[in-house]
Amino acid sequence: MLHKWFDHWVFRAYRVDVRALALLRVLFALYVLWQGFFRLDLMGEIVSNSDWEFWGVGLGESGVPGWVLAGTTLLGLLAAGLLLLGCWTAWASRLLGLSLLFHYAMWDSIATGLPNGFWIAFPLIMSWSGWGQAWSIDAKGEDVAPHVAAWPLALWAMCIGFFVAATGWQHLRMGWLGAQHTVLMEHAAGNIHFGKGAFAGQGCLMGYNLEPNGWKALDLAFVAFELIFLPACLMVRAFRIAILGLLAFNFGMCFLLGQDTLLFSLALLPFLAWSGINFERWPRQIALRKVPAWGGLILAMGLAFLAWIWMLLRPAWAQEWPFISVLSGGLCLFAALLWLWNAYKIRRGA
Amino acid sequence: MLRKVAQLFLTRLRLSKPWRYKAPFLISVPYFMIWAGGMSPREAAIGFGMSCATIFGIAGFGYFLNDYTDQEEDQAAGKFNVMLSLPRWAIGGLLILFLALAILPWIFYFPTTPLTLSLLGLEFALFILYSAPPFRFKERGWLGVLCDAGYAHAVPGVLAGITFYELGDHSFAEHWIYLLALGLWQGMVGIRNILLHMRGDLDKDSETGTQTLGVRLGRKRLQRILVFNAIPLELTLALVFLACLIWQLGPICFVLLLFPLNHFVQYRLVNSDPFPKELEGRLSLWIDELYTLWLPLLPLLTLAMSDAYFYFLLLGHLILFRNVLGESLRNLRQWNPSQRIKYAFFVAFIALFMNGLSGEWDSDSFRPWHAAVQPLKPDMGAEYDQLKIFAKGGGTREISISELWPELPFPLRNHILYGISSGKRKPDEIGAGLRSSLEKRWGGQFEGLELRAEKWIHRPFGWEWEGEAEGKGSLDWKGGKDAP
Repeated sequence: MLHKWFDHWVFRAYRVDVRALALLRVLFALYVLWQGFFRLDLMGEIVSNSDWEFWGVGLGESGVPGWVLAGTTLLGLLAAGLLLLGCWTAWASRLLGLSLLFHYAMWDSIATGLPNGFWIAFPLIMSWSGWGQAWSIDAKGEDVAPHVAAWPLALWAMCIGFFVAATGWQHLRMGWLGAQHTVLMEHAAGNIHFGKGAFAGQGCLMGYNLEPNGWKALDLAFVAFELIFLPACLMVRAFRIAILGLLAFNFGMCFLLGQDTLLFSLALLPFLAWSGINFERWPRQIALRKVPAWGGLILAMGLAFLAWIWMLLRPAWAQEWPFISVLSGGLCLFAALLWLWNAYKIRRGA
Repeated sequence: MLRKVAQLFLTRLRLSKPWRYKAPFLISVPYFMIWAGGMSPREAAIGFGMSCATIFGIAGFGYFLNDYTDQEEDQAAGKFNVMLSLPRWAIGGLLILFLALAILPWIFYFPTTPLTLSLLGLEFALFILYSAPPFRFKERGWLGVLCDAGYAHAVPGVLAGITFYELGDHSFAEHWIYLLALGLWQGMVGIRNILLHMRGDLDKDSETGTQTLGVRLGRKRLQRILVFNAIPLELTLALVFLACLIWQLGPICFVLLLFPLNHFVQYRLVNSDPFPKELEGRLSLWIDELYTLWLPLLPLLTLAMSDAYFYFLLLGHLILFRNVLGESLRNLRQWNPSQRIKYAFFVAFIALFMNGLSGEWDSDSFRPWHAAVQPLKPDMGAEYDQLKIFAKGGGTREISISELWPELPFPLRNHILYGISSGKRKPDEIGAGLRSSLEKRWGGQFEGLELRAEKWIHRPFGWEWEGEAEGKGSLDWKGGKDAP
């Protein structure tokens, strides 16, 4: 019984259309190239600084020469380019993952404020997913198989489950539940004060409008949400719902607090129910099914969106009408979630 | 030629059996004593080599003597005996070889105290008592059982422990508790093994009329002794020994939790097979593999984490002795691709769990290599969860250098973060870089500044200041705007 469940979870549960994976492949490669993981701007400083020492990956005190770093940077860029085009996709993915791993080992010893290094594993794991079997040079002239191996996605789901749950565990250890701090509020206030996000520098109400108990409840809810990710990855439906929640959180962090969560979001996209999209008619038409015909709700969503934009452009109004500011932002988030729910129908095993 | 030699030793003389099933645990006793005695990697490597030689020599002598004294009996029974097919010169050569391998390490390297020499002598004496006429304890019931348990398990273990204790710095004061627990437990393991062996040979011995202890006791009584006496007593003593290990080695012993998990995954999830139901199968799977494959890992991993050069010792063990990694690789070769994928999930699960527990996961960085390569790198300030640098001028006010952080160039950040906290950089090395950053911000030239690093560490539910770090220094400041 248990082994049948395990077989299903590993090999069938996270099955997804290969074209969805191909889309992710293109987006990921574009992001790597655009975001500059390989820090070309720092290359000159590193290579020219003769006093520099790299605490490499177990390479001892003598460090790593600059030319090695330059060489791996170029390899990484080449791999990202090949991944974008879908040429030798599996090996390009692995080369990209290894280049990123090497670079994070280098950069982590000398810099702070890098993007999260967890996502290095994403191209490595996805190299086995067959994400080069559609919309790529590798797949040219061949029929597209509707589904590919599901186990890489199951493995990635487990990685995400561990990552998020371990983050929650660290938050628990660091005192998020303690009475002396309201951590989310402090983060939000700090980000806003230092000029990040949609309400930057304006004394956003997000930071101050809730009662301390309300913020504390958010802290508790947030830690609980993080901790449930690990058991959730064992249940496809629950995991997909949790992923939606995480995407909504990322959306909020990005637009409200100015944090770069795009890469995080990209790596979560494989777990949406892509069967809701009819790829045969892509990109001419996205198959939106069962869009609610509740005119009033659509009207409210539209007004909320307009209000939110207005608050962005008129910060003084946001301070004057805090409730409307928070409500409009919240309704926009809800609208995005609702659209996602309907457009990418959550279905077990889909 | 090499193949024939290997065949002679491993197959015909049956030395592959003790090498595969007894030596892996036996060699772990020296590993533990190497750690407890603070021996260097070089001393450990020499001791390891000498141990392998003496184990091979002593085991070889035992099997040699047993086959040599059983020649007539085996010939009459039609059983294979290697001595029957070897010329005299080869037999003599083998004897000299085994004795040389067994004794020379003691002449040239191992300490020859009265206790070690007594135990070595006892080992050889037990071999002779067991096999050689007129004693032949193997035919004398319980005497044979105790003799076998002694020479095969208890005496070698205690001898190895005492030898390496003598080689170390004698700092392990409670070594006698460890050795006592080891000797008693290993003795019971030997008794259990010989009783099981008798149980397996019962039908054959009954047919040939050989009056072994097993035949005299009868199947039912033998089974009762095994199930209700020998095995429970062995397990109790094993738990006592394990408690000694945990007491000394600490949390690394949690690695043993992987043992039942590994079996569960391999049997139930990968192979979809039930666990063995017969006694020998269960003992082999749940007990013997724990002793042979998993227990040696504990002192080895502890050593490897204390000094990177001990990884070579780990590598030597993985190459020469049966181990969990080798067995897993052997299984991997036999499995089909989907079985390998399922097992890979288990390995990934363990890696992710260990990394999560190690505290290397947080929302800002992911350093998988830290867990694996920490022993290879000098201290990167890992004990510091947060570092605050203060520059204090003229005794009036403190400035947090953390505020300057975004403006500091990467080399300087590195030196501050890792150099001072690990004690590998002096403050005056960073002084020049820090000075230029401060001067850029406040102008003028700085003098009279003190540099202090505070050490903050995680405690449950909050931060706690633990004190100052090493690395005080000073910069010169000669005034400027906004002087502190």
